[in-house]
Amino acid sequence: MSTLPSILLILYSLTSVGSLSLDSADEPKDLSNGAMGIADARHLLDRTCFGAPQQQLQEYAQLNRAEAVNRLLNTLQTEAKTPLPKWHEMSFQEIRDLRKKDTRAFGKTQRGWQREARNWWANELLISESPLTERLVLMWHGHFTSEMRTVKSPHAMLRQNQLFREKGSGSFDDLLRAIATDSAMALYLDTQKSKKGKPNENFARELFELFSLGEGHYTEKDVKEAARAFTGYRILGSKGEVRKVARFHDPSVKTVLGRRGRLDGIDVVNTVLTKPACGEWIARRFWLEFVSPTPDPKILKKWGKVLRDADWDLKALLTRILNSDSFWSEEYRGSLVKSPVDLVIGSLRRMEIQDMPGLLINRNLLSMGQVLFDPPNVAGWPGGTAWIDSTTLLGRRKFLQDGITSAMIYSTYQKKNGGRGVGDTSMDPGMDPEMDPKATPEMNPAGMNSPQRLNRREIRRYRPLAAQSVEKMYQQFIDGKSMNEGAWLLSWLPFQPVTDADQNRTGFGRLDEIVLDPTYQLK
Amino acid sequence: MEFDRRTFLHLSGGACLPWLIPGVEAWAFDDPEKKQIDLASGLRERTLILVELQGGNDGLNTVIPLRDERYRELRPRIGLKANQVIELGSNLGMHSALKPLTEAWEADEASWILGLGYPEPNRSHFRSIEIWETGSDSDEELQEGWLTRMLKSQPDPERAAEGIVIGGGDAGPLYGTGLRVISMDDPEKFSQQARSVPEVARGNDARKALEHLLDVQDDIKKAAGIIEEKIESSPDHGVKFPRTRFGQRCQIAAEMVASGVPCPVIKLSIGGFDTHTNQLNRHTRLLTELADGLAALRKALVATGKWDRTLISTYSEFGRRARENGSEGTDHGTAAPHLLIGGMVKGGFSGKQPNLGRLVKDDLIHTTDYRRLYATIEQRWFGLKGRSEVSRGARPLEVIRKS
Repeated sequence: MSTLPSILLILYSLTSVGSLSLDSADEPKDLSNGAMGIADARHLLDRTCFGAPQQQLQEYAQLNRAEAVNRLLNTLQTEAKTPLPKWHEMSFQEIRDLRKKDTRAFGKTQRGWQREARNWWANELLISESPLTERLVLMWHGHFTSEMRTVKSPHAMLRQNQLFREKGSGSFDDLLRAIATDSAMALYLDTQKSKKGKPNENFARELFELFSLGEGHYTEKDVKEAARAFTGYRILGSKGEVRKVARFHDPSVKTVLGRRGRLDGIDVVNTVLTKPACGEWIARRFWLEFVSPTPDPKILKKWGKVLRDADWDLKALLTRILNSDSFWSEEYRGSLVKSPVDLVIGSLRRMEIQDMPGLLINRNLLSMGQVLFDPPNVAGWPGGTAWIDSTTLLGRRKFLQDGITSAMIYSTYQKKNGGRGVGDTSMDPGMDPEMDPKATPEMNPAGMNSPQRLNRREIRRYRPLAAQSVEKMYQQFIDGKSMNEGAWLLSWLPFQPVTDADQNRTGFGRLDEIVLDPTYQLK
Repeated sequence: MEFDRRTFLHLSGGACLPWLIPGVEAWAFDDPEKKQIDLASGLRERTLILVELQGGNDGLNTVIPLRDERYRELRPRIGLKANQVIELGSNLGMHSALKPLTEAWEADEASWILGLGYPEPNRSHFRSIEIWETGSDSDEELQEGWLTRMLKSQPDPERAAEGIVIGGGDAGPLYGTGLRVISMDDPEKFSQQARSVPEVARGNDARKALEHLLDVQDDIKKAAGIIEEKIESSPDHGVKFPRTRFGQRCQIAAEMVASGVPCPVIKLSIGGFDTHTNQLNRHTRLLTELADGLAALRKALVATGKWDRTLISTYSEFGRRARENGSEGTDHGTAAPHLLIGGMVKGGFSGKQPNLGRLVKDDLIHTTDYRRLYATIEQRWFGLKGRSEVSRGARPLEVIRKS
């Protein structure tokens, strides 16, 4: 550690609270009256949002931690910024009729919708004014998983996505009840097919194991009994509402988690919500998302209680977490591996690129092992070091090496040419991560199979302009209040770079020396 | 130590040669020094290709008890009819979708190990695959894959890696520290991209995530160098592989083995076996993809003279419930048969088909501890001395020919 030169000194001089000891009680306290500095601002925004544009980083750096958290939580939304694709409004009957008319043609249409749904969300992640909301949507998508490759219906998947936006920072009990009667979930975990006398255990098992309690807090018998309680739920409403149908439902007496009665699915969910293990399980999910890969059971107990005492108000839990010593602890800085969404969306947001088509975002995510709406299995994305293996690391480096540069050149071109034709990805036949596992992660729009690709001459022309904008960004940063070269690095990286940074590089070189350093993969 | 062993091998090359021939048992020699040498040779000369059937393969519709009436009672709707089964003898047959494997079966190179499982089976996908991949008991949590425990005491710097995972999926039985595991989709693209990865001088860094990242960088550079060199002189096997995802993975595995990339374990996977609903069609499609891929792999390795040095083994988190569910599918179950196939395999059935008359809550009772498969691979395939941390006391099955 003796080799750490000025960087750490700068870090300590910029953060008004020097080193924090981990308080096992983890009570929130008045952290500071002064400005928290750039390292803390990066930490907060990398973890809760998907990075942030430079100006925002600098604004947050002037606030103290409590103010910053407050300001951030006030950005929470319940609706997406961009309107959902038009076909989203179709009723189940309309969709059914369309399928009846021509099954094959319908299959093709549906695959097109699936692509649009993916591209729509990728775009929303990029341009949303409340990235914290989208982070929670993504977290819940990885918790209450459904896979589009199984569910098929893009309508149901988008509805579920909207559900996470609407209730993802509201009350957890509402969210859990809504998930138990969500159409994508009914299709994914087979409640749709479960009936009296022939119960299907799929949903009941995952409800306990992954969604609400965790292993060790229920028995095989609970699963079997709960499966009977979940019989007879069917997608009926014109917008995919799930209702209990008496003639398929098993009304007999069951005993689930110690409660006995003629229980139905909602009764089972309500029983789950009386268990302390449930609050802790959700606290654990938040810890893994926001703090570190190694939860502290003692603190989870406390956070679980915070959640239950607040009537399951998720915002109360989040407030507690973001004000906790654990969240700010130096020990956990850089302990989380950026997910592909973090890496791609975070880099683009930081570089203020708003016009990368969803299609290209998804192609890049695919090369790093993440496909929106298609987590690998019902446990969601494992995250952490599992994001990094030899294949995905090479995919990540390719994006950081060529992808960002190309995106900036493209963006510069768009700005100079009035931004026509941007974002219309529905026409592009190239993107279907599922069908084409080897889709090139190329993001250079010049190589893109679309009408608005750039030719070589245009790339030559716009490349220097794009490189200048990096330089401009750097100068603006340095000119900001009490910022310097060390602070510039801290606005990108969780700790000192491990490759030798050549301080004399300019333009894209200046960017490369940061984003290609292994520490940029961490947050 | 490492250096000495290699030097000795090199110097006494001619004398060592017979021991390097696959199948010569290590413990034929008493001299502990010589034994060491030979132990490593199994790992150097032979490859294990693992095929993970993700989601829990329905064993009872893979190897079918043809004349058992209880089979039809348990599976009135999804039970296979006589014309959907290929008879293999002993009143058992295999799903007709596995037809491409009959050539290997008739050549006595395919063995079905019946009724593999463990006591107090867990029915969660995640926990049960963890049990299978770590080789643990049902109520025990181990931090490392069973192959990790087997291989980490057998380092060999000349390997490209200890394991290569082809086409996605995790390291599974190779999980844990101390092994170099590479995952790739395509060897050429892999080598090309590896060139730009920087060399980073390593400090004594305690940050786990960063440490992992730098480890992966090092592994990439080393493996890419070796693979690139070997693939360049890859022999032509002349086999056209199926264009399915699994088929393409088999093709890359064939290329690795045929060109002699030094790596003891290759892991492939094929997903979608969680057939809760509408099982008949889905399962047929999956087994067809599996069998087509494996048959092509066999052809390619026979053509390049590597078939005797290859052992392919399937595994999966569990079998499925013996009694069908109400959605023309099957729920998570317990024991299942698995396939061993390779030039040195003694064909036939091994172990006992679980008794359909003795079910526990509609589930099969396993007849063979799944770790007997691991003991077989450790001792009979790689010729290593049996160690309890790998086999957990299970005995090897006699399903590998001596030479």
